[in-house]
Amino acid sequence: MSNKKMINQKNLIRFKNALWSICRALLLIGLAYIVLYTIVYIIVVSVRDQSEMMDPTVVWITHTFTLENLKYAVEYMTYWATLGRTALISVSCTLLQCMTCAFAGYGFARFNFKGKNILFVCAIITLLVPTQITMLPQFINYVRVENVSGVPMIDTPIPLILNAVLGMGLRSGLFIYLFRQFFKNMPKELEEAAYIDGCGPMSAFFRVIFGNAKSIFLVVFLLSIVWYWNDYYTVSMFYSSAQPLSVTLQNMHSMLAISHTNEGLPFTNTHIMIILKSGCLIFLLPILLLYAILQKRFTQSITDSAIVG
Amino acid sequence: MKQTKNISYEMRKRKFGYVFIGPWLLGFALLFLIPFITSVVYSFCNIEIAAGDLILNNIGFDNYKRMFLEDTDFLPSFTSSLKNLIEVPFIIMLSFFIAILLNQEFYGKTFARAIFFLPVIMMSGPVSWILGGDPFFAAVTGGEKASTLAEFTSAQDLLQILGLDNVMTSFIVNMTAQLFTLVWSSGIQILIFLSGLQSIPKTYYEVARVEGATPWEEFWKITFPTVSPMMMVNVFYTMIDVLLGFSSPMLNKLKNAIYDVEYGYAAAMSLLCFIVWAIIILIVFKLISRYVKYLGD
Repeated sequence: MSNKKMINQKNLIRFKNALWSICRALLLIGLAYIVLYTIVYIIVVSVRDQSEMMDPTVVWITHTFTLENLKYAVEYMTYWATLGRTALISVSCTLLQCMTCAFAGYGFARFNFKGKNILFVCAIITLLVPTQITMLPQFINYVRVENVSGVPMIDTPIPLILNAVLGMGLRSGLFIYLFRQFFKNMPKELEEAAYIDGCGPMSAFFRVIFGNAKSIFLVVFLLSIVWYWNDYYTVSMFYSSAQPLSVTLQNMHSMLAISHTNEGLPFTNTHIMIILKSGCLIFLLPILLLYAILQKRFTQSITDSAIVG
Repeated sequence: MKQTKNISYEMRKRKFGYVFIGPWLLGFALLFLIPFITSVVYSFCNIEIAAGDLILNNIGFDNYKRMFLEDTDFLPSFTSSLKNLIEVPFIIMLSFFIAILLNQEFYGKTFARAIFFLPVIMMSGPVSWILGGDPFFAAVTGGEKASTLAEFTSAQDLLQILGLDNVMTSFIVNMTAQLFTLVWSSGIQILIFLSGLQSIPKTYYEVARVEGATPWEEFWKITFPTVSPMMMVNVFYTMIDVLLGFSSPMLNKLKNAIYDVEYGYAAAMSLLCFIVWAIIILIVFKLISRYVKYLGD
């Protein structure tokens, strides 16, 4: 092939690559817009004065800038107190759930006991069943235990904690599945070396895990925190007196409907709407911050090939 | 000489598996099996609350009869949540496509990957109700469509001005709104696909290129089969998510029934839903698992 032909071919390839980069950038930007639109919208709406909601000339940039709505949201959601409670519930349940699911996933991955496959299918089935089927009888059982033993159960964190520790927290089935896949993909040599050195299975587990499983733990931790943070039904059924942020966010609109602004006027519907959206913003903010901090490690651990498959 | 029965080391190690799954097994028995069976019992009863406990009045199949014959919106909500299943292939294709895009090397790829996981964080729970124009909250706004997620009416007017036919514009607007929902439901799927794509050794592609394969062939012969286990996982997860997710009409019906203290009826509905969904998922599983190739499993 002559020199000129080679150069032409090279240029063609370069051109194709550039074209593909542009296409890809456009596609990604378009799709990312769908995701980012909502977040930007909430932020923009929260700092808007309520008179601007109906104003058709105002789309993104507002004429007014007010922190009033955020202040109302903070006040009616009793934000700072609730934040501590919510964080406590979410983080503790997440940690407990992580431990149990890791144990179970490891057991399913590495040990060949009788009934392993059936029990694993049962673990997946727990995902499929609507929570309403199991939540109600669980509630009744807890009430009965409380009546019989005198130990307070409902309205304490005990049901949530018990559920998490015993592997029945929110979407535990999914975590067991993820852990099992991860441990299946880990080379057996590590544990075999530990066994040769005289470890029992339990200490082999701890040594093997805490060196190598950071990535899967990060993924499970983040997912679990997000789901517990956003959870409304389980918490309000078992532990209704500790109203986490999700509950106060929901209740805020009915509270707003019956109270007055600082100037003594009742809230208008548009105003309530804006305050609700500001509420969404401050509700999501801690989780978004957490995600922003962790995301580099998180996306890196996704590319850690051992998670799925 | 007495012969002592020794459990071999292998056997002992096998039984250790029970220790590891012990906590979960206990939870499964206490917090799942027993409530599940109780729920089945409930579905044949009429529940009354008395003195802090429940009284079960056995009424046989009445709950089920009521579901099918008397309640006018059970069948519609049930079938509409089944209709939502049609979204599953689209979600899978879309998330696969996005994962392929994100798998490539380009500037800002970490940032892009971070963005596409955001829907998982935001789309579960109260936020999705408030932003998605939940009917509950629509009442607050006095009937104004409170959906911030799809404000496409102006786009529709624009298309009509451009002279497009009414059917065409509504079709396009529908598609765009659907795209919105699809992208928002595919957070986890993108994650799973992306990790699967990353696990394909680059050597496979190099060998294929040396052997003269075109990118199209590379895709169908290398990428697609290796990713097929993840595709199965995603199919399951998406089906479960669509059926039980936060905007499912069936779930609303269940919530309302529980709210009205009609626990027996709620139990009957949930049980029926579970059975039907389990059958569907089982069928899908049997169909797909034939095509799934595991890498070295």
